Amino acid sequence: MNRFDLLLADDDEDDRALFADALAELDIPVSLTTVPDGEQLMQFLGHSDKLPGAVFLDLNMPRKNGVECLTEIRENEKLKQLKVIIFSTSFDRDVISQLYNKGAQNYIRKPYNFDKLKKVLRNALDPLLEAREVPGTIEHFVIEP
Amino acid sequence: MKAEVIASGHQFMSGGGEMGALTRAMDWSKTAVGDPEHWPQSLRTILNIVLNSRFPMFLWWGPELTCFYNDAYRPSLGQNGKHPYILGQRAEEAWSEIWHVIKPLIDRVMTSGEATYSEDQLIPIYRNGSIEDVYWTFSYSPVYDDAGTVSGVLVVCSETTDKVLAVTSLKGKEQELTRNLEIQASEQSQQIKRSGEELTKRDELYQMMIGEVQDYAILFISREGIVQNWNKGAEKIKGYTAEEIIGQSFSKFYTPEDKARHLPDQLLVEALTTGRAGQEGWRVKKDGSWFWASVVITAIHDQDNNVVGFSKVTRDLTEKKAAEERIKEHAEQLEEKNRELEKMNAELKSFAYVSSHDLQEPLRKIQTFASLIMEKEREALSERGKDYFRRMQDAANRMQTLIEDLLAYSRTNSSQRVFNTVDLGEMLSEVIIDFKDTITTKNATVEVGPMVELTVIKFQFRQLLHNLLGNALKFSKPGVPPYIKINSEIQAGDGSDAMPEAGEQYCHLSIQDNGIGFDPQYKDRIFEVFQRLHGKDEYKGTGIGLAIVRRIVENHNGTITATGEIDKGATFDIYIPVVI
Repeated sequence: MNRFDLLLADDDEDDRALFADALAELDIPVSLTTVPDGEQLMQFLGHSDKLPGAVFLDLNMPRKNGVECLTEIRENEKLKQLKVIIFSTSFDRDVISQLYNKGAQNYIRKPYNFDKLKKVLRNALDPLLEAREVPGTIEHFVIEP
Repeated sequence: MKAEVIASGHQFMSGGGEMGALTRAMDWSKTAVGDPEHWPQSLRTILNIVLNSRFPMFLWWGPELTCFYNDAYRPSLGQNGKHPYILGQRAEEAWSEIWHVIKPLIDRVMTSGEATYSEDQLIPIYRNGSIEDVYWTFSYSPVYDDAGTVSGVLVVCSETTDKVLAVTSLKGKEQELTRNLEIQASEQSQQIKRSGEELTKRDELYQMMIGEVQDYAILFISREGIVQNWNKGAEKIKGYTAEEIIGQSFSKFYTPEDKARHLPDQLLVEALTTGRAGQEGWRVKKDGSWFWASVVITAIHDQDNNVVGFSKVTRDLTEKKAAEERIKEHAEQLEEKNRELEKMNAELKSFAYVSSHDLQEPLRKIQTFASLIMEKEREALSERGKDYFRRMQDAANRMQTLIEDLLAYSRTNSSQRVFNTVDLGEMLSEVIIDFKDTITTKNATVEVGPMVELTVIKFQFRQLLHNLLGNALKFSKPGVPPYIKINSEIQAGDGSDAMPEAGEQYCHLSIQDNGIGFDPQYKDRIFEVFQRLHGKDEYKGTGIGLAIVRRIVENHNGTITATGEIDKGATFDIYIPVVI
């Protein structure tokens, strides 16, 4: 595996741009594909032959929201193993534990600062790149910058 | 007996029991009648009849009225009386005590030849040792001798003393009875008279009573609904005088609508069939105005249970009705207000949602792009530009805090309340780590005393500790290192405001600092939302922190109080009932 394929589903154009900028500055071998909503995400996943290394999933999206996408992915035989990292502004404990129970890999609260965005992306990606096993417990679920 | 008869040789003296024997044994030769050998046939015949009769008989014979009598007569002479010595005696001797009574009778019979008859005649005789009142029914009849001259008097008698006494006693009783009856009758008639007077009096009283009642219209209406009488209350409530209304139909009091739907008749039929009809509704006064009436119509029955009419009691409840409507109106207004409040509450909740999602998004962008500019384009800005930019970032950060605090405050209401038992010591250690930078910067000391376990809503209680510790660190005196003491202990309820239930256990958590304190007059106000005691320039904050704390305490059914003075620190005391 030369390059690590990442997929980002987010309806906010600014966030997609910031995510790409931060990723570029991290200087890690990844390629990023972005889609503007959950429906296009599921179409993309359905048509691609090769699954991405991880999907960053916003929650509030038009047409099909993040929770619906996660549910479909976990119910789909082909997509079941896909790593899904939630990437959202909200920080509601009830929502977080619901997503943990639905089988998301991690939860990232969108930072208020570019530097923190880079940090949090690194913290999320490093274990994946190194193929390092992280404990799948609720304590490690939320990734902080 | 036959031998005796033979012995005496007098056939006419045969039989007769004891008296027959005595008569036969008597030596008649010494008496006025002389030797029986010479007695005339008429004496013999009558004596035979007398001796052998079972009916009491007595015979006087001859010029001396010599006495003969039979066994049946003997009991009348009693014990220790004239028997048996008067046999053969002269009448005047034998009956000396009553001779004055019987002599005239005997004489009359002897001279006239006519019999006498006396019924229940009192003729006292000597017997049983004294003169007794004896009653007789008797007949004196003449007995003729062979020559056709009255020579004797036959007395056929029966003693009727018992009968007479019985009758007398009966009569006495009857008289007594009659007397009693008369007395009773007189008493009763007097009583009836009295009660009649009483009745009249009561009736009058009753009439007066009803007549004078002012708060109720009380009237009697006939079976047909015609008004028969009218009291003051009726006049006062309905406006008619008795003269104006008696004789008219009670339907006059009803509104045209009620009349059209035959309400008056319906009420009478109901009262007729069930005994009673009650209704509340509008009625019409004489002047045409309406009043709200409570009406009860009751059927009146005679002794044979026939309905003879109805009593109708009416009350004017116009004022009560108005009051009720005012209350109803108020209730409706309250309900309306309630609905508005609920709507506002829903709007507030949706504001919390909006602020958590949509409001944070643009703010986060502002902050993120600002951080990008300060990192990558810093050199392109003048010093003044950099200053403006920092101020902008500060404002954006304040707004972020505000939104987060508001969210936290609204979450204390809406989030699920799951209780878990936690070690307050462990929870406090985590919170202290949150503040490690501030503690270091301010050179603060946090002294943690004994910490207990408590069943709480975990994330809320962590927020509570966070806010209280944050507060204590924030409001420190400039130049004085903060000294914060946190303690907890389990105490027994003592009926105080803080620990009201005796027998229950309470966790008393206290956080004491040496900061700037506060004016005690604000000890309650500091727990209200957006109540700040200090300017934003002096101490940053949104004025929500302590409101969140109080709400969390309330969510745990506890109490919180703040004590302090300006420049002498503040102490927060929290009492949470221990849930087992």
